[in-house]
Amino acid sequence: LRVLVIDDEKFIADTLVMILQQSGREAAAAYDGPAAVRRAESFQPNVVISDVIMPGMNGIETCMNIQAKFPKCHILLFSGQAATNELVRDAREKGFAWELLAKPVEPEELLAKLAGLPKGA
Amino acid sequence: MSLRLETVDPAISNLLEATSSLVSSLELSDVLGKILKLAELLLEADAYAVWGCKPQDTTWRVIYSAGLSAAYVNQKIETSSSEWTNLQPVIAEDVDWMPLVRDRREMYRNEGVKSFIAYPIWTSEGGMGTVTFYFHQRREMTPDVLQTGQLLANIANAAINSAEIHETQKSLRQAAQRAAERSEFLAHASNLLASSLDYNTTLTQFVQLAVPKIADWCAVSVVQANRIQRIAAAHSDPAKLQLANEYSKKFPPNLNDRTGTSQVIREGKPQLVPIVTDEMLKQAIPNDEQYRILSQLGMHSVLIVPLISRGTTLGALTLVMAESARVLGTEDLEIAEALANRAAVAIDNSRLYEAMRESRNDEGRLAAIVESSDDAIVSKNLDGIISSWNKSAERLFGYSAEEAIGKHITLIIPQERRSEEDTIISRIRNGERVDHFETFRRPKDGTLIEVALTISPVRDSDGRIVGASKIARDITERRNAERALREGEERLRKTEKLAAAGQLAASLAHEINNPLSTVTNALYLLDSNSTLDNGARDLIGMARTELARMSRIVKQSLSYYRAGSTPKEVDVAAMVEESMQVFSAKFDRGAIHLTKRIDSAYPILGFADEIRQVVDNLLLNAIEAMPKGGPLSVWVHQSREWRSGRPGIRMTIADSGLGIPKEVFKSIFDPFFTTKEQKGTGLGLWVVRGIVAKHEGSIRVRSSVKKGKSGTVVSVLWPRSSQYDSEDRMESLLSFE
Repeated sequence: LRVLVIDDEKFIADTLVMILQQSGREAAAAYDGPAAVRRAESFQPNVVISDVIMPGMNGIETCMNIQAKFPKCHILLFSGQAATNELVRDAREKGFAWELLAKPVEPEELLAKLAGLPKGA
Repeated sequence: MSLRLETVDPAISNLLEATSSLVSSLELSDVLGKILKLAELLLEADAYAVWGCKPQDTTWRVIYSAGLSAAYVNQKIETSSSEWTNLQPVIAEDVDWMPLVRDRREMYRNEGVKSFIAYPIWTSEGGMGTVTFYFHQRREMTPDVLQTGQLLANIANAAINSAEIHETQKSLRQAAQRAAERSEFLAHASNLLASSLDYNTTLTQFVQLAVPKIADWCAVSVVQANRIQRIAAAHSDPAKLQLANEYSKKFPPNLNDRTGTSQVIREGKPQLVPIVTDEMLKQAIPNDEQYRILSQLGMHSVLIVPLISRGTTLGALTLVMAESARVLGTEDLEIAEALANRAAVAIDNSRLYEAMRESRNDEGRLAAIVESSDDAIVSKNLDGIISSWNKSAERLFGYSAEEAIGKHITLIIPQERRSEEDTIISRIRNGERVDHFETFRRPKDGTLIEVALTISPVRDSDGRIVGASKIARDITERRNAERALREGEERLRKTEKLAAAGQLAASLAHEINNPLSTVTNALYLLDSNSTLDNGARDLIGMARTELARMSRIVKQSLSYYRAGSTPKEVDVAAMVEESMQVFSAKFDRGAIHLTKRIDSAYPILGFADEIRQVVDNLLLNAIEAMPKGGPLSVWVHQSREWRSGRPGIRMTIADSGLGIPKEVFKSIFDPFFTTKEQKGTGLGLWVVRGIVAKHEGSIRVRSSVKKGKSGTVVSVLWPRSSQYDSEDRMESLLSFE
């Protein structure tokens, strides 16, 4: 399972990558939208965990980009603020019914969630 | 004279007869010209002059002359010598040898006069004079010459006298005629002005009447609302009138103008300018266009008189001479003043009448206003007997006008407030007004109403105080309105506070949740590091526990700003049961006796986590409100929203704790409000309110701090289904039951 973690907060992305790698998964970090899209090309993730509010290209746009290239990739959003709502609603209207997790996400919960994902992801 | 005529040449006598008939024509200039011709013919005189001296005067002047230079004619001679006044002719055959005229020799030489004869005459005014014949050559004064000269002098004297009398009579006749015309005009004008009280109309006719008899132009201006307004103007030529109207429209007079109508109105004194010169116009009117139009009007004589009535200047009457070339004088001033008087009285009367009519209308209007006023208006005499009672008084006090009028005002004054009436009446007697006096009155139904009274003295036409009028306003409604306004403002403040707090919460959430994520991850990684000893691992465990607690607080307080997922079916009853199970240990420890009644009910559509948070927060509040324990009731059942009737699940938690003091009660839903000092976040009920609002529910809190009955009851209605379309609806849907 290859997991791409996207967060403009470098520490969050990096620690999460470490947790994922420790749990035996392949993981990579990207700190902004365009870098994430480029990284996805080579990394070909099964799962993307992305922050929503980011400067420049936001998480929703980034994931839409990645989803277009990897339709089977599972997207998980996580966010710590209210402004997320509208962005997520917009995405939903465009047919992207992604799950949104609230920060801080307990690592155990996250790992459990990943374990529970359908096999194809 | 006829005797002497017989000795004269028959040709001369014929001429003399012709002269007589000529003299009877009474046209002085004609006569004098003929006399000179005769003098030339009969006396061979070169010039002649009529000298005159007024009675009691010594200055002689030339009145009529022919054949003399201007310098000679213009000279004045001072003399009181009896030689000139002794009724004998003065004969000078040679002026150089005549002692009487020694001092005038130079004059005669200059004029080329060598000889003269002067015959004395009397003017019609009783003055003295001479008819003098002058000769350039030395003339021998034969008796013939002297007689002929006397004859001519007599004719001249007669002609002059009769012509003068004729002139006087003519001018007297003319003056009399003018006076008659003017008095006729004045009478006409007076009748006209008195014919109607509409002075706009009468003055228009009035100025037309004045033209051209009195002047070429006539205009009337009045002061209205501090502006000078020309209300009537007349001129015989409509084209010129239009030009004048155009002029006054373009250059309306200003009360502050230094000259003309404005000055007359301001000073209340007439202004007569007999001759208006071009220079005067140019100086008075610096504006080129204004000057151009004005000179086109061709005014050359102007008279402006103020319209004064009862000591007040109401306007001005302007008379202008133009085409007729007549010069306005003091005589015109008199008639203008007479006219102005009449016009002023007409304007004043008309205005008085207008004011009277208005005040009469006012009385009617006033009665209607009083009758239809929303305030109760009652009048009474100084003995307190009610004399009027309007519709609102009937409504407010319950007595009809028939019932109230004639009764004493104590009809509506409660027993314990009767003394107020004495105070009020004594103030009214002193002419004082009682303003906004708040008191109670007793309507017919026996209840008490709170009213604000304004009582003013009523005076008769002589100014004597004869009673009082009382305006009563039911202030219960006003008090309600004030309360509503206060509440509205408070609500607005609360909303603003909430919005500010919401922003703060949102940014706090962002700022706290991100570092929390990092630290959570880092501690997790550290915890799984196998190289750590047990002591370090314990410390990390502690840190992780505390961190989890921190996360919980943040979630608890700021969570409803969290991105929501889709609402799901929630069984509120089951959720309450579950929470009570979780808190059962706390209940036991706190000696809290739980009474629960959970009726099975349908699920609602909502957010389970958030509803659980509300349940938990409310239960925790209840537990904390009962430090000494006591009964706690929890009830969940199907119900309806009190106001809208929407079906839903009602959840009621009633503690028997300390209660919420009245002074802080209205703040309980404010963010950061807490009664628990350091223990609470101050965000619990604020979050509860937010979550309830998000679910379009309603919350009701009742509390008492009375000993033995203290406690708080919180009741939340969760609607069966909600729209969840916008977070913005939160505030508007929040209901304080």
